[in-house]
Amino acid sequence: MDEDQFQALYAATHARLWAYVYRLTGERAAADDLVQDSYCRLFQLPAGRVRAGAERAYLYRIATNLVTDHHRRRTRLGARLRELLLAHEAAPPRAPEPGEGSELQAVFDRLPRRDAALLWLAYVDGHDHAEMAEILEVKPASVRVLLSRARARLADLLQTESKDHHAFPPALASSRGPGPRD
Amino acid sequence: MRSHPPSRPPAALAPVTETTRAPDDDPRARAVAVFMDSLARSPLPRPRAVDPVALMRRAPLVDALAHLRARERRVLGPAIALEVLTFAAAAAVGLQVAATAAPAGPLRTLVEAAVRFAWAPTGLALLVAALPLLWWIAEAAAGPARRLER
Repeated sequence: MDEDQFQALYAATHARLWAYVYRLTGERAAADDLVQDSYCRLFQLPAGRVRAGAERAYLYRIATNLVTDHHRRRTRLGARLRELLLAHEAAPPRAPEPGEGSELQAVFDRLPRRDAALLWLAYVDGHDHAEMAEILEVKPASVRVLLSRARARLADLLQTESKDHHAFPPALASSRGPGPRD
Repeated sequence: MRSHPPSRPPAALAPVTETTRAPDDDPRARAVAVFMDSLARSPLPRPRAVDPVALMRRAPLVDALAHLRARERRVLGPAIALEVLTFAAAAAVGLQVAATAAPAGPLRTLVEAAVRFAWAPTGLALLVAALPLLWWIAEAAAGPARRLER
């Protein structure tokens, strides 16, 4: 990747990638470092390693792997062993930073990391399934199923939270009807 | 005679994403969409501003550091094993010294038996494992780096 391409990619993706990494890590300093590392590693890749047009997905993939490594380093040994055994472990609890929509973030933090990443990529960043498969290193055919499970988990969490704390805006509360669960 | 234009292959459809999909009828799916939208709109701290040119300059250093860390991780396990072996051997030697200094009697017999018992696994492990471990450590440090994207 030449310097002009890199600068164009940086300008086009930095804000969104930072938001993605920040929502997954919950720490501003960590998000800064991981995003910078992601760009550095992408720039250092040998020519031809990244398919033309797939730079954005590859960048997200690097960032996602760095976030996973970051969480692994932070968690205690027991939690790490559990993570090795169960791929669906939730992120460790953390103190919210001021002004970040802490109620929403608290719910988001309770999701397993892969679910959180999937939902963010699908609903906020607007990646298609093929891109998500490339970013999360899963089979393209699995994305629909994984996304559906992530959606169901978040819906369950929202339902529990709305019963317990009434912590969400009315728009959320009214959209949950008494209908059958999927 | 009227000629028909050659038929064209259908244009490839743009991939559907959750952001471009029609609203869902399922209230739970709608709630998820509303939640994610609220989360995306909720305020974020300001990221640290970095010049991409500085990132490009820093990239080789970051890469070298990543390689170094990968090698460190590869060496860590064998190094710990070698350390344990060395300490076990040191303990066995200490026991041997204690055996020569121990007063004659049942205590000395006991310590001498302990020395024999301690040397057997330690000596065997040193013979069998120490050299391969040393070799592994030397090779792993010089070996190929892990995949860069990790």
